[in-house]
Amino acid sequence: MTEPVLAIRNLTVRYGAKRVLTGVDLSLMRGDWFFLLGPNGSGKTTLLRCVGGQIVPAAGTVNIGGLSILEAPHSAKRLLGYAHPPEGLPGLLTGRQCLEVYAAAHDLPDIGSGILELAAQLRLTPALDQWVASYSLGTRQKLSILLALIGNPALVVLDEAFNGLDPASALVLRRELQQRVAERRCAVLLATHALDSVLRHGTRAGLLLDGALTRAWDAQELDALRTGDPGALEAVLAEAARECAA
Amino acid sequence: MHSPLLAALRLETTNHLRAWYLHGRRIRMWFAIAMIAAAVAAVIALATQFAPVLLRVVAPHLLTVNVLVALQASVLAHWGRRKWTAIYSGNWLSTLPVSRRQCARMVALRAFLASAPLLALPPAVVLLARLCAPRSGAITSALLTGIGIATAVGVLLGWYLPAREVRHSAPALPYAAASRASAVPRLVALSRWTETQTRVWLQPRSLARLLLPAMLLVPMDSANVAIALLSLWVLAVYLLVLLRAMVQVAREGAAWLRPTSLTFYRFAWSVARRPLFKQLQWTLLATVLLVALGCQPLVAARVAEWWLALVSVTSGIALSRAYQSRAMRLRLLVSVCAMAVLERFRQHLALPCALVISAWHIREAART
Repeated sequence: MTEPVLAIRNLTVRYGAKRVLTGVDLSLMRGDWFFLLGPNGSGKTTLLRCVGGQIVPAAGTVNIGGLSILEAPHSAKRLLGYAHPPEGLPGLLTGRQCLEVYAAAHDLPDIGSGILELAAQLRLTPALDQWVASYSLGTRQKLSILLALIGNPALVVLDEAFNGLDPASALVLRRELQQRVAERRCAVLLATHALDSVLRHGTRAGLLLDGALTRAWDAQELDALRTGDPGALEAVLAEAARECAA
Repeated sequence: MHSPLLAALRLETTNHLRAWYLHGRRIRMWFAIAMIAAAVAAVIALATQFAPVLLRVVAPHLLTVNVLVALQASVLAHWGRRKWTAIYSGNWLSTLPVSRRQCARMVALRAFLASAPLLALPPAVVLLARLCAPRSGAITSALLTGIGIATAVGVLLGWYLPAREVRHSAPALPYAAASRASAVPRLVALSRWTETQTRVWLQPRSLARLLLPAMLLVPMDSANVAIALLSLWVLAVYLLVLLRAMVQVAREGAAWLRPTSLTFYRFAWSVARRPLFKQLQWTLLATVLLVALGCQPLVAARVAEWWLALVSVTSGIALSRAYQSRAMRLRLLVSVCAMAVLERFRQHLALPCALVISAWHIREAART
């Protein structure tokens, strides 16, 4: 049996006295496109930040390719592509310089033709030599995703990655991710509220409510939802939220 | 390529300088340089007046001064380490495969660069005092040696002092006052914002832990004086951070509330009311402490007057320029220079001058 790309076990995170995540378990293999769903404040971003090693959990483990993000961060992060929030990108670097820094960190000889081609498809090439401070939200978002894809990471982590993107760019990026997933080059973990994307691209999905993964859908269940009522997933989410509140 | 963290810092710095050179007009650049030179001249002019007094106050308390310097260095090192560790564990470079050692080196470098001007301040003041009072060679030499050793010890102490983990909670949480559930429209939150920001930056719990060894280190025979000096230092840090926090809140608050129908006068009054009152209150206490330390009442009053003038002019300019979304540094520099020049010709003009400048800026902002 092959090693999961991402293995989260019993993850618990507290902000002071407040418990944000409680006993979350999740395992992703190459070829999985996992959609993390949940209302605002349910802990989606916190979970992703734990995967990125930015938050140290109160309990539990996060392993990427069998390597602990806390005990062997250097090796684990070699397998990780993490799209940072667009507002966190450095305003005083050009897009190309950001890509260069990321390529150097991954010990790549250059940025890579694949990434530059993708930048061209996203119509980002003219902006690459301008300062990030001059970028619009959508342009920053594109750069953030490109940075996450540098070095063909085995795990791509995206938080609301398609917000602010024009439809054409969103389509290009979805196709790119779909291709990587279909070729089993990586697993994608995406937190989102866009339920249509879940049905179109998702191989698995999970609902995070009050810090706990309360409901999960595998490929068969998602297939059933695809062929059935298009509003079924929305109804299931609303029902789950009501149950949790009750 | 070396460390990607270092590469990013180098690129950011060169780009920043390039942006400044390309986008700032040459004439403005020369004007800025001239203003900086004028500010340095103003500082030297003020130093000639205050240096002998300063030396007279600190001469009997060399050890206490060294303890204070060590305390300041340890606070700066401690805060710098906490701040930059938090930044590098959450910024756009945090998810890169970078070794812990590289990250620690980067944190040390950034913390040192950020605190270098403040670390250099005590020896600079002593050197300036030596230049202004040539007969004080022995005392200034002893001070400089002591300050050097104290800074090194303080930095090491602050760096290796175990920090309370901030990773499980947002740093602001312990310092934010719980608000009552209320639906009444009022602007009181604006006036408390600056104080909350000050507490978040000051981290009073860390400060208290650093103060304890400092209190134990001061010589017992001059305990009262030492405690007064320590208190004065804490007050000075608090007043500085409070002023800096008000500038920050003016900027953030203006960006947030400018598109609303809130008038500038209400905005400015709400933001500035409480911090200005606190400044006045604690400056008075600092003046009393200065007098208790042996400073002449008139000189202590002048120091207080100068500080209040600086607070007044900074607040007025920060609030008005932030509301107009314009830069404030150059205006502030020009204003302080003007105040220093006026003070040279006639004493006690700094505060009225600052109030006039402040009022003019506020009126200008209200008009626009």
